[in-house]
Amino acid sequence: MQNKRLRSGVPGLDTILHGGFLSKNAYLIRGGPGTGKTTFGLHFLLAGISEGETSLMITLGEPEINLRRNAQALGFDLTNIHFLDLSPSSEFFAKVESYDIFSPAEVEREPVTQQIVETIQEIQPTRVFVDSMTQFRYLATDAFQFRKQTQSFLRFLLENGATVLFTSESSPEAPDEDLQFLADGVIHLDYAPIGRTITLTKYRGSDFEHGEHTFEITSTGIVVYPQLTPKATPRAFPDTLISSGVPEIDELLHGGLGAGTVTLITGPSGTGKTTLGTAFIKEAAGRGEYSLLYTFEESIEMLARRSESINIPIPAMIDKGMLTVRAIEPLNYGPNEFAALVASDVAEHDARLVMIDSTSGYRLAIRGEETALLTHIHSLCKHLSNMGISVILIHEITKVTGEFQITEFGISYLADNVIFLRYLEIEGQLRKAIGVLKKRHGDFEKTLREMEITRYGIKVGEPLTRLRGILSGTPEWVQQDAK
Amino acid sequence: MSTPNKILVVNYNRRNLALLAGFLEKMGYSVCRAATLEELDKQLMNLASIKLALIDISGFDKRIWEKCEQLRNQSVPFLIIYPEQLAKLKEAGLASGATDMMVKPLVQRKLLAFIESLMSPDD
Repeated sequence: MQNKRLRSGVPGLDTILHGGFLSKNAYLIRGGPGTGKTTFGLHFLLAGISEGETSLMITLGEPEINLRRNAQALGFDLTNIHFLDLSPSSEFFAKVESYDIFSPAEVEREPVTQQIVETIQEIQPTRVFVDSMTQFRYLATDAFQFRKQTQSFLRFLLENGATVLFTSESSPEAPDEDLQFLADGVIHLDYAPIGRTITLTKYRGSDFEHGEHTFEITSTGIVVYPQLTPKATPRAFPDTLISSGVPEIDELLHGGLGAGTVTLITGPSGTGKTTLGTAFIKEAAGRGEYSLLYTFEESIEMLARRSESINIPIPAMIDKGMLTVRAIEPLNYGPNEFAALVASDVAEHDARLVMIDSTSGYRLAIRGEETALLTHIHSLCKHLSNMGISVILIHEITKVTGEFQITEFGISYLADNVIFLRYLEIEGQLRKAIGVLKKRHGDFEKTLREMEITRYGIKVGEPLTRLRGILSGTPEWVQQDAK
Repeated sequence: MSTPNKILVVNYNRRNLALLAGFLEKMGYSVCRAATLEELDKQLMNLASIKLALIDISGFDKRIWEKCEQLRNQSVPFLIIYPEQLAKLKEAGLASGATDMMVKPLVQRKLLAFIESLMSPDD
């Protein structure tokens, strides 16, 4: 029989848990100080309250009054949560004489056990949060006793119908491997270069989303951003082509870009990559398809003004409800957060085209290793294209001329199409050219064409067939002598 | 003369005294207590009812040895409890005629075994 699942109460976490915690199981949340363990637990208890269940918090470290005060700051209403406060009172320090006749384990354990048993039997909680189980370690005479006691304590809770979340503080001096073995599931909270991370390593009786997910502690609690793991769904050959609205570019692409493919527009600064991307958006809007544009580099106003001056009316498209432009401050977003934003925008607007300007900005948001960039951008693109959404990635290369280069970090492999823009020096003049380097689905024109951005839009000329050495950046006319 | 059935618990630290006495009472033994030498003198006046003494030497001066002497002379078995850092007193304790020595913190199981070897709860 399939075990019932309990909502975790943390936005995004249930996606990782494939629907929530399995009822009558015990889960361990582990992490260093300040990683948000207690807040996770409070979310869990509150979710129970909103379902009409009984929630109990057993606190061994932080006193109830502090917990309530801190929770209030997050807007949590703990009124209906039962508390069993086993944290040491200030009297312990001031009044009670210390003792050494017996070890604390022998003296303190029994009253603690007694209180827990009485409370559980009295209120019969559906959800129990123990913060933290590590404290019990000091109430056991040795590791064996601790393991045995913890095991029987958890069993006692589960047999009384509770689903349990418990925390542990781990450090090299006091490792908590024993607790990980006992738990039905283990959630790790940590800090990493990409931000706060949450990882599952164990989840008895259910599958879960593997990988390093991220989370944030906001002013209203925790939000988890699951890492996108695109399902291995076979992709259909694109049956429609999306046009750029510029006939010559469509000729270059033998009709246009395949719908649901990933396109990389690459080139040095100022060649018109963003403009070319927005041309596809304008055309999509003309067909009645919604687009999303994420700009990491320009403000929305700047982009709007610039586009309007070249006949790409971004404000009008926004007004007509065909486009959402978001200016992303890379330092405020981790990759999973960004992916979550894109996914929710896509779902909200039923968008057909997503443009990310640019991968350099996105790279800033990753704050991690280069390989992480590839993984994250790959999952995002794959996820979108699995849904039949076309993706345009704007990619800037730093070299203005010289030896030809598509990208500086190998992201071209994840693109189905690569359109490149570059500068050419022709007869002492700086000109721009456009070409297609790759188109996975279907043929394309192998020549370059001159491109110009005018106030009427993008103008593309005839194929530059009479030039030689185009990829070097300083081409020569081949047929000039013959003329 | 009544048969001795009490355990005399001697501890300078009142919290220790309460814990140890409380533990023994819970286990079914009757207990009398002393936290100072004066209190101890008072208890020793009624030596006939004492079956066993548990003496924690920490906090007392060397006059405690005289009291031990007194117990030995009356053939009352006694256990000396000492803190780890006073291990050098172990010899002095044994010389005073202690039945056994135990280092703090006591392990309840071991303490019970020791007591049971000398008396049963029904005594």
